[in-house]
Amino acid sequence: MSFSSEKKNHHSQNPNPNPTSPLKKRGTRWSDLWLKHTTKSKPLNQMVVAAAMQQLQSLSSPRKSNNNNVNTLIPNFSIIDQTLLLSDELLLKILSKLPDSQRNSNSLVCKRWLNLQGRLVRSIRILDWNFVLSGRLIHRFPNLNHVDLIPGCLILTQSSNIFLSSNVLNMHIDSGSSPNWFFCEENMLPVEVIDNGLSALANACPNLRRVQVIGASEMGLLSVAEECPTLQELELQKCSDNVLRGIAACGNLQILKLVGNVDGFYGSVVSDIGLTILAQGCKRLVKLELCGCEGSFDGIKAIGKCCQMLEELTLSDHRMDDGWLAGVSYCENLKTLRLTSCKKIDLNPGLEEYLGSCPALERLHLQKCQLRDKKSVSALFSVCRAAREIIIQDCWGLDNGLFGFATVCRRVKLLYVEGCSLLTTEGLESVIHSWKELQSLRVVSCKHIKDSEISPSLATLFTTLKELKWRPDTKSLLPSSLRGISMGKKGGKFFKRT
Amino acid sequence: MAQEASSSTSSKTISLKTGDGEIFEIEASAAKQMKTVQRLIDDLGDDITIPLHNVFSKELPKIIEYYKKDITGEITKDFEAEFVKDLNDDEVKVLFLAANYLDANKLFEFLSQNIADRLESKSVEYVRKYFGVENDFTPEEESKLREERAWSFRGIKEDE
Repeated sequence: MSFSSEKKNHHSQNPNPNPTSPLKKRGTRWSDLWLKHTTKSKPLNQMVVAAAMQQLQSLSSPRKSNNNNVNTLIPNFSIIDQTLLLSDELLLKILSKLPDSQRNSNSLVCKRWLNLQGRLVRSIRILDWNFVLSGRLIHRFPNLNHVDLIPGCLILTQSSNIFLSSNVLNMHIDSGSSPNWFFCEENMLPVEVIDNGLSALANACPNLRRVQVIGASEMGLLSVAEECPTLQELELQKCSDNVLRGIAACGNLQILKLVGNVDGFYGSVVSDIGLTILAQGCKRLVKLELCGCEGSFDGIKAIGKCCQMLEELTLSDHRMDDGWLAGVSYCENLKTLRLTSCKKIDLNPGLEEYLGSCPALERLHLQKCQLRDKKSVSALFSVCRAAREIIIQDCWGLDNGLFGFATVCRRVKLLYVEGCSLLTTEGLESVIHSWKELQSLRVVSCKHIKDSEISPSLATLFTTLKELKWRPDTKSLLPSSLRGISMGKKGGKFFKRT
Repeated sequence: MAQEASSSTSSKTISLKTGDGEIFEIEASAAKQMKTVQRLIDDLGDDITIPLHNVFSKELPKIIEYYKKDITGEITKDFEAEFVKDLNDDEVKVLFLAANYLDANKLFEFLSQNIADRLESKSVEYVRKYFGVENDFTPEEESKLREERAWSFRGIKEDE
């Protein structure tokens, strides 16, 4: 058998070599060429591999330490790297079945494994921007779909012990940080650096689906928009109206989270201008989350009219001008409206007849909001009168009077109330009785709702429900073997057992 | 050379000849599961002994045993556990390669999972020894990789 003639035969018989080759890091050994084609049956191929298999089997099991005898001719093989018999495809098959926790040790086996393991990684969080700029990220992980760049954009002092966190952002700060409350702005990389990293990433990973970044400018985002047409999900922190010009170029964007202003971290303004630009550019939006954004009726109306596919709108800690609520009714396909951490809803929503309502709304979800204002709450329930599910968690100021406005929602099937301490059984009952379609009720940790105040009619209503979770009394969450909890002398708590 | 199906009249058997010259019989329906064999049958006809150059008499019986169970629909977790229990590492590897060559998908998936299970949570050295892989990193490269792992990036869980 002449091996050079085999190689020639190879090329003539296999015009389409295995697409998962070549391995960039190793020089091509003759063994690579024929060994990679073992998956397809060509007679000459088979003979060559058959000889190798026979050789393998004639070797006894305990393997001696590896030498570099791979380059010798077949009959003289002593030890060979068995993974060479596995094409990249086969080895990837095995590697893909191993848990993610083993990724790191697999990467250290040898250079080929590092390469293959890196190809399997789809999502990553960057901690060090140099890893992106130097090209190491792209070199090691060429098939990324999801990249979280936010920690990398912040200059982290790794040794600092102070951890500052909000619901959107976490960072470590130095004890020597200056006392003004813009910690993040001071510790962020310059815009140009972030943009450079973004465009390097976009150029190398055209299949990016999801990116999270902070402090980018429209230039960086434009490069992502141009190079990554499949980008579907984006989180932009420290976003401003200018930056949104870049986002408008991402035509396929479906999920977007914009963070404008985070108290104590950074301040930046997203206003109607930005929202309108966004609406006109990203018509395929399905989910939109606006945190700390300004704006008003016009911006929301623009989004409602342009983004016909919008199904979920979340406002977190909003700084919108009064009167914005009426804009929500322009979102004709909106299914979920969520308000979290809002200090106010809408202090001047305008006249009832101009409010409108969301025709397709299914869910209203309020979390950690201040609900003290009568006009706000009544306008909110009015806009959401088609809702089928109402979820109110940890909201302040919701008393019986305000909750009474919810009777305007006639189609409610599910009510979940948690942590609303001003609500009483009576207030709850009067609203529930008007909801003829109610099927599911959950009441958790509402301390003024007492079991003793359940009227017979309410009890009868409970029997008609498909699902009932009644735990208004927080004490019922403790194991019954505890007699109670008291404060010990040094301020610690201790439990007395029966 | 042609060997007729001898046993039952309802199911046909196919003759397979291994690379080291031994002949085994399998049911035609089992042969269907091995796409390579099926292709050869389509090309050469089912009355001829099908030559399998890359599979040997050591592993073919095991493969036949697996597919005998498969066509009766009796493959359970217990059977699979029993199947691999006494196989040492080399045997599993050889079976894996044979299953790949035969394009026998079910067995291939099962064995690749088994190899993954054998490697799970094992150290780098163990994995190297298992496959006979040589460490081609220099100490500097290796420490650079470890550093990157500690300081430059993290993985992301799916629901984040």
